[in-house]
Amino acid sequence: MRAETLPGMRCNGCGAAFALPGRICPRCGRDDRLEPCTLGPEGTIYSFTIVRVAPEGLEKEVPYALGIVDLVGGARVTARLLAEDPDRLAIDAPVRLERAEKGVYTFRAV
Amino acid sequence: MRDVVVAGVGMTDFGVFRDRRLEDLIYEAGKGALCDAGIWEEREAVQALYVGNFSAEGFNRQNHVAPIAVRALGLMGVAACRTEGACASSGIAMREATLLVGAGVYDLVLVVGVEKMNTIETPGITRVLAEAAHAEEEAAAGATFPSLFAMIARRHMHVYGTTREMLSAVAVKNHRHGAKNPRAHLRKEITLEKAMNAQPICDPLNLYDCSLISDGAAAVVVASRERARSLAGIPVRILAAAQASDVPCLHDKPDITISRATRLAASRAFGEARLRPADVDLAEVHDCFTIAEIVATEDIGFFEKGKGGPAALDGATAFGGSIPVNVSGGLKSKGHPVGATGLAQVFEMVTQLRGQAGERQVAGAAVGLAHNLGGSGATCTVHLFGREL
Repeated sequence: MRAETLPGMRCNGCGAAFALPGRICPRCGRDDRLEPCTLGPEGTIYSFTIVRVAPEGLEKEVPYALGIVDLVGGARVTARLLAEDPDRLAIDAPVRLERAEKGVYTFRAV
Repeated sequence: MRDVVVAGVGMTDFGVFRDRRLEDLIYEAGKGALCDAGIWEEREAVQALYVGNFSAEGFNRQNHVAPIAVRALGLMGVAACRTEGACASSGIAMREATLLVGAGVYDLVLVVGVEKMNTIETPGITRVLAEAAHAEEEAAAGATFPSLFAMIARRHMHVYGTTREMLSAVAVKNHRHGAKNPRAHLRKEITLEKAMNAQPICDPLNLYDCSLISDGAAAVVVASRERARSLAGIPVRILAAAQASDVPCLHDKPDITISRATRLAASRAFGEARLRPADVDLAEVHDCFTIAEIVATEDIGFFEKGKGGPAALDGATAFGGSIPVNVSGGLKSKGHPVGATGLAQVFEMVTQLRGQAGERQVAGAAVGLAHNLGGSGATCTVHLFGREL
């Protein structure tokens, strides 16, 4: 599935947004001011790493880039990162959502 | 709350012990603590047993761990339960025991922390440890513990100018400390050059930024001050037992360079004890990764935010520095059998405050702090200890 935007929730109590359909705001703990919103598909890299020692099940995928992405719309997600040129992976670098499969988001540096 | 003390401590060596069972480790540490308190032969006096353990199900295919410890120590009939809070599992057990004795429910409690990790290969261990992160939102994407702390490190470097050299300074220091600890897993000094150029694990973290995969157990006898008068061990006062939580996912934190649970637990502990960070003579701090020690020394309040790295490089946290951190060698050199770590920190505090730490003794140590962190910072305990006057 090629994802254009991600469904999210916004808390009108504190302004935080998040990417999963939670029932409670993870920022302020309120449950009475949540409403659906859309997130992405653009974002920027908040932080990232290159995983070189894999957990069981992902041994064949190393090295892979993992990051925390700040999505347009305000939420942050943990995601796989792709880049034609590894130098494009940097804090604040722009990324775009490439796919969301089985709950795993993949972004590509643009 | 009435006054509570540690009346006895015990600990196995930390290392790789493929031929020792979970109960062998529990027996050695638990008996050690009860012997130290002088009540091994009268251990029916123990009123409750708390067992800190992260994942015997993952490493040993064993759940229901408390009865394993009951039988291993011959404490049949005692009220026993396990606490799990990732790497803070036995810090939590320590605090529960302290609170119950302080509240007058019990007079004498045994606390044991244990982990036997070297039962499966590294990828399996990495997977089990990653279960302390969020399964769907982090681990499914391929997050591992080194990767989560690597992202904290990269952000810390970006915001505060923390350098690769500062991270390695923590590793060099803790190895230098651990070389003097007979129970440490890796008693080996390393050079700054070696630490900086080690095999990359999750950039910017390399092998020497990561703690060790260890087997081991530690145990503590917690007693009311009153009860301890009739026990053999030199008591050490528990001045504070604090705990705090944060969200399970790193990405839900507004700023991943700040450990909010550490800040909360530390400020609660200092409040309980009516002390300030400047009153602490030495600290055992949760250095699962070098960056974790830097962040913790800032958020406990030893240094301003962003100054933890320069402090490590300048030697402020080394033996002989203004606030010695991890004189036991820490998780980095002493080792990190996850569920035993919180109590191994208590073991070091008690040994130091009794003045029995030999060549790693911090002169005049009167107040010590133990900081135990679970996951990427979602669970934290901070205990303060004081030399009995």
